[in-house]
Amino acid sequence: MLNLIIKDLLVQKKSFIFAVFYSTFVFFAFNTPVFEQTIYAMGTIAIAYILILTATAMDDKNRSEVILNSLPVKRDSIIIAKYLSIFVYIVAGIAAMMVIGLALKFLGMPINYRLVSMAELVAILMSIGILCSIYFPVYYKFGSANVRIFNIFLFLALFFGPVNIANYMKKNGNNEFITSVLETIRSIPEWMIMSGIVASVLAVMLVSMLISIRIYRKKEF
Amino acid sequence: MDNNILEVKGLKKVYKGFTLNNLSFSLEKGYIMGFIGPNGAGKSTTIKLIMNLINRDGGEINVFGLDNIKDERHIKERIGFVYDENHFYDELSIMEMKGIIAPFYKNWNNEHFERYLKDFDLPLRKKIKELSKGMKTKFSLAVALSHDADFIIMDEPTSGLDPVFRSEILDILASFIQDEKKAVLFSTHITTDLEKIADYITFINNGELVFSETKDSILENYALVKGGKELIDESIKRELVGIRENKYGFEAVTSDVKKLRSQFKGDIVIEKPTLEDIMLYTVRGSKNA
Repeated sequence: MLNLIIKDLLVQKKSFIFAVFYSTFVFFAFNTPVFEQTIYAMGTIAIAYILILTATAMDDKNRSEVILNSLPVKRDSIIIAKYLSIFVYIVAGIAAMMVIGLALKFLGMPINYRLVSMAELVAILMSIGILCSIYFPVYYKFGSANVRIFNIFLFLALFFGPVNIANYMKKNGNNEFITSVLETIRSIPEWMIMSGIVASVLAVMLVSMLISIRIYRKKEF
Repeated sequence: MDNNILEVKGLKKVYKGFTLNNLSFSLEKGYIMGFIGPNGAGKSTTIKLIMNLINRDGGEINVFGLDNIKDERHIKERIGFVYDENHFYDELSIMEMKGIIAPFYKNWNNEHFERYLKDFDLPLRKKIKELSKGMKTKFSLAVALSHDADFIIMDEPTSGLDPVFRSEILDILASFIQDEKKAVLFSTHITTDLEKIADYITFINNGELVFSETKDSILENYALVKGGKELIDESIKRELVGIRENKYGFEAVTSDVKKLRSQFKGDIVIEKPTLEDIMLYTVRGSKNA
């Protein structure tokens, strides 16, 4: 299992250079008060997702899954490793943002360096967890080259979707249903909401993994 | 336990426009089996089924006496594979790719691997995509031979390679089976390679088995027959495969040279066939049928 996760990291060494550049870019591009609360989440989500996509693209490129499936490893393990690697990439994304942030701070750049907040962690897990839960089953069914466009839409939907929903809610602030939903949410303690989100995302990921396993068991190489 | 390393029974795989039908053959320890047939005969399909890369629609495959799906992991520890195309991550160097594959095998032997790299003159730091086809095959073979495998499966390993390297591969395979516990299944359409090293030949055409026998008995029983046109009648035709007729005479192959000799009193030429002759005439015969 660990071999498979390490394999995904080794096949895309170049992506780590990308992570360094991208996190530097994020610190400069979004170094404004508007993004102060979300800058680490924004950077991490993009880096983690790109690394995850690159890993699958590498498998797809020379149909390397033929090799994987000829090695003494179970098909189920290949899928489980892929889902577990999501957490590795989240950690890698956070690490890139924290290390580059610190380095820039030492170099005297005017950036706001802090630890990743709890809310950001939840947001990262939610975005990446849901993106992958949709992407992986589709990838295993159709292959990465065929789902490239689908992927872009998926990313945009998840990147801009929440903002648009929030705007919609603001505009329709007087709507009874929305007010009552917001009221209810406000009355629940924050930790409870966050644990609820984390638990739901993990449940979605688990269901998605079971679907991917079913698809992969029947896949022909 | 019996002596079979591979046993294929009633194997079936249905595709649109092609069916691998009721294929059965077996391979004993200590032997090299050549797996021949024209393009599209079902060689790669069979190999993929053995490796469980595709799902079978019927039949059974046992490797080392174990079901190839139920005991897949265990079996694959002991199988070395070489495919006709590169499926390695081509951005990686040979050493990096080895670093990925080695941990999957319990019995990975780095000394063996490094010895093969040296013997094969492989550049360790070169990216796989920069290697020639022959080098990629050599690398694949080095991997296949470095984890103490008892069964080597090769799908067209020699296609597109020069004769010198092909003969090197054949020598390696011949020494691989020396201890009589191992076996090699080797698909190819370059039949001259097999004449040198194969003990058994399994020939499939259009998804069906033509024969699976020892090379010696095939070359003994089959013959290339040539003669005047006037000699051919219906009873003779039944003994011949893939008859090619022209103005002056005919050429064909028979699978029972003794019977033919006893029937044919006329003036015919009987020659020793090559595997290629047998394959060519059989394929032609099935097309005309």
